Amino acid sequence: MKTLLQRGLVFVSIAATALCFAKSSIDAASGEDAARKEYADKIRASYNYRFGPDKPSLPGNATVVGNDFIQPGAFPNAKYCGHCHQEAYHQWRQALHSNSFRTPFYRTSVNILIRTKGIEFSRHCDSCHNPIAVLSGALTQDSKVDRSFDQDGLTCTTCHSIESLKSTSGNGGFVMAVPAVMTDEKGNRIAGEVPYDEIMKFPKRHSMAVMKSFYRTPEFCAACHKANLPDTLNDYKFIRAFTTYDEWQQSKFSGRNPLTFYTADFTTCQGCHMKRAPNALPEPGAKQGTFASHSWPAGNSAVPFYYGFDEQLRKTIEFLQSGNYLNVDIFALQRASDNQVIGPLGSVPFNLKPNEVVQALVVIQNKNIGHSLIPEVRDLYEAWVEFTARDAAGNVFYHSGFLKPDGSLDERAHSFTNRPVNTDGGFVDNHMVWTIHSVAYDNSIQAGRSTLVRYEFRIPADIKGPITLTAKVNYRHFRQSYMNNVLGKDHPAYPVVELASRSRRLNIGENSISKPEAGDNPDWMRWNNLGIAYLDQMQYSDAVRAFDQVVRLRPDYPDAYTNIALTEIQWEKYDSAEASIRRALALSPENARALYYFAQLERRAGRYDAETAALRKVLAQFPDSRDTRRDFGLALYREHNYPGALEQFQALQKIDPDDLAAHYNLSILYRRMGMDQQAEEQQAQFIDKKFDPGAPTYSFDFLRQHPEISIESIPQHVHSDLPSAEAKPAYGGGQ
Amino acid sequence: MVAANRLFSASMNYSTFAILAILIPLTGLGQGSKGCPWLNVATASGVLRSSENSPMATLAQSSAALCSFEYREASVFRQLLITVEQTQNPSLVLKTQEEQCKSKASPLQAIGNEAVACTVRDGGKISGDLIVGRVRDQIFTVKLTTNTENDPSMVAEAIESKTHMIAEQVAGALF
Repeated sequence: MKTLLQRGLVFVSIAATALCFAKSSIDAASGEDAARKEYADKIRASYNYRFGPDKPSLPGNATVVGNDFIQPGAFPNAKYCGHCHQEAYHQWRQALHSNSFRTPFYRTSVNILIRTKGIEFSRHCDSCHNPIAVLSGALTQDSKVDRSFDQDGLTCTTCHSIESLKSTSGNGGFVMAVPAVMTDEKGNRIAGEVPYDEIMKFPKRHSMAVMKSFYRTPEFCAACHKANLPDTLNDYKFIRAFTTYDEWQQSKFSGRNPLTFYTADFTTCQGCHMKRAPNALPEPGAKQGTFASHSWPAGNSAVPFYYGFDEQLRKTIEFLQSGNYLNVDIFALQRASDNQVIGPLGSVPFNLKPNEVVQALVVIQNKNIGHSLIPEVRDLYEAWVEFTARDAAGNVFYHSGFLKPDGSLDERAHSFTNRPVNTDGGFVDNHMVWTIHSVAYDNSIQAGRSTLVRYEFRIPADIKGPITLTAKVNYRHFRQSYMNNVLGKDHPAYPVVELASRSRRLNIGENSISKPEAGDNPDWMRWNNLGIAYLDQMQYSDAVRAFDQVVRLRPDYPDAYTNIALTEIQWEKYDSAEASIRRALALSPENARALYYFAQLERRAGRYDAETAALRKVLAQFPDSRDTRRDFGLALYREHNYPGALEQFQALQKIDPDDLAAHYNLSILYRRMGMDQQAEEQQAQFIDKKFDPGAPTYSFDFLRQHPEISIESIPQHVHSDLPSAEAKPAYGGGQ
Repeated sequence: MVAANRLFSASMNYSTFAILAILIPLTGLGQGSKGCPWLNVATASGVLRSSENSPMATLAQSSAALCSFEYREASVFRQLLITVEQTQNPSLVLKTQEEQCKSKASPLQAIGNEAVACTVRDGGKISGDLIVGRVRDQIFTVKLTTNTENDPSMVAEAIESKTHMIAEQVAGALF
């Protein structure tokens, strides 16, 4: 029998819970939807409010107007929409969005989360993968919700009901309205399905209900194509997961960052992933015979392969191989005998001898992707360089980046993946992101940047005829270990897509200058990319020498001097950096990129007025430059201009809600200005998000246990099968 | 558990082992201790009920190996039966389960690793659809039946799509 105390506690608990629910009940009732209220009452009675009574979606961020549960049936299903929007329906059915929940590749990972931590934690993933499940309150023990909507994943009326965006924090950072496909004559939304003839009579009112101008912005995509791991998920701390939106915002395609190496026309996410094309089926949403793609082609070839969606698979492969996204350049050879770099290949004559040990310097440029290679889930997706050296008969005498008979990738391949690790120093397989504490390495190439991959091999002593070097960048969903975990080892081979490649035929003996192939970068850009790659590998001397070649070939190109200055700033050679930046500014006085680095040099020299003047000029051109906002905020803080500094850091936080410098400086500024509550909030966020200095120890444990791949964590490394006594260092010989 | 399976398989014939194997507890997906680990009552009701206003189906039997959802409305009796079995010989169990088919089994794409669908009949008393599938080393069956000829909620096309949807749910839970 229960004691009086126990009964009292139960009563108090029920009363407190009832009070907590009261507000949300009122909110829902005010939405005049009695059916919704009745439904929500039922769900609330047994819902697991583990993360707080007013936070039903945590650890995800999805929200619906009324802040209460909504019936799955409130979402008109895709077949209803597809009655008229036949092309959209046809494309969507094969697309990743419609299969965002049901695929085995997703379910395997989220099922582990559910089994090990509890179904309530899956609200983190499903805020984007299955928002109807989250918003209907289905993700709780003993769920009373019919899950037949699972097979439609992100259905039409999820995206097309989003009313506003919260911020660019991601994790489902949207506010959904009660789904409606029509408004009344006053613009009020009419919830649920309406007869088709009503829509046909008032197409503008249909459009008002289902389209918002922000659907065409990258921030709309950011709601889900940016993610973090909050402490409510991992019981540890905030960790950035993937930042596709930020990568775009920092890329040349956003026009919001003055510091990119190259420039391009403004292009949104939709500009690449929702290109307009003629529609084959009836589609009222088409304009002038073209319709914005609802196939959203991207990198996932596994899902269409699994479902047998041949059209989507074809579109995916075509997309990956289109767009001049990557450039592969077998830039140079470096002889082991004298360390001489022969390059750019094709533009310089040289001799090659049998039995020579050479390094091939391969530059991979992320040329036209608006985000990193690989974006998002780098622990599961796999892109890598396959490099071969063949004799005239086609016999391979060096091969890196091959697939083994069991389908797994050569451990020593140069891959653009990462290795997240847990507290045991083990690789976080199966995308168990809630166990991630550190990342042993991350070899992705950021948008617009390049990487240098070195392959060392010996030319056979008995070689006859020319040799052919080939470098390919391959891509697949997913890494083999994950495929095996999902489907068992007996699954069929999943597609491997060649993204880009380049071959060069080299004579044994004399090689003369040859014509470039279509798609080859001009020589100045080849040098520039080599310089960028050296810079990112902290090979500063070699980087400066490469950028010097750009100056030689294009003396009118201001960025060549800026690149030298940038390298010298990182190299702490400030005097020569200043000389270079002044040459850039002499060519282009208002050049924002040069002005930014000029400001850095002026600050270091104590010339603060010149620094702030330069930063003001940069901000006038690039108001959404996060680096400039940060530096300018610090400059104003130094001048005791606290309101001015506050404005800068608030602007910075608007660009990136998770920027650490913004949290740190805002906490101080708010405190100084007597805004204690805001100061505490910022301080708490800073503490949650700041780097854990103990985390790298887990990476060291992993790398110690995996010497075969630890070399990948070193920025400059050589891929070689030669005995170590013959191998050469990775630098260019000029250090 | 693996060791226990080996012990059984060494000393018993296959059918005995199969019966015991279904008793092996498999991990469910948060349906609660009393519910079916692979599907909740609401989703089962969605395929068994005549309409949204009809009463809910009941979970007549529930274990990690077998769930039976039942729905009665006057003389109509519909049943959704789900079995799950972990085995060391998936191809054999798959074949054994397919023997329930009263028509030629058609392969299905994208249900588990592999799956087939067919119709089932029991002496004219019940009729419906069966899907037998595999997720790694787990064999599952989904059988949706009615005792009523020309049951308006269970016309061939409806029963096929409902069985398919439930099989996808079960396979998804097994991954």
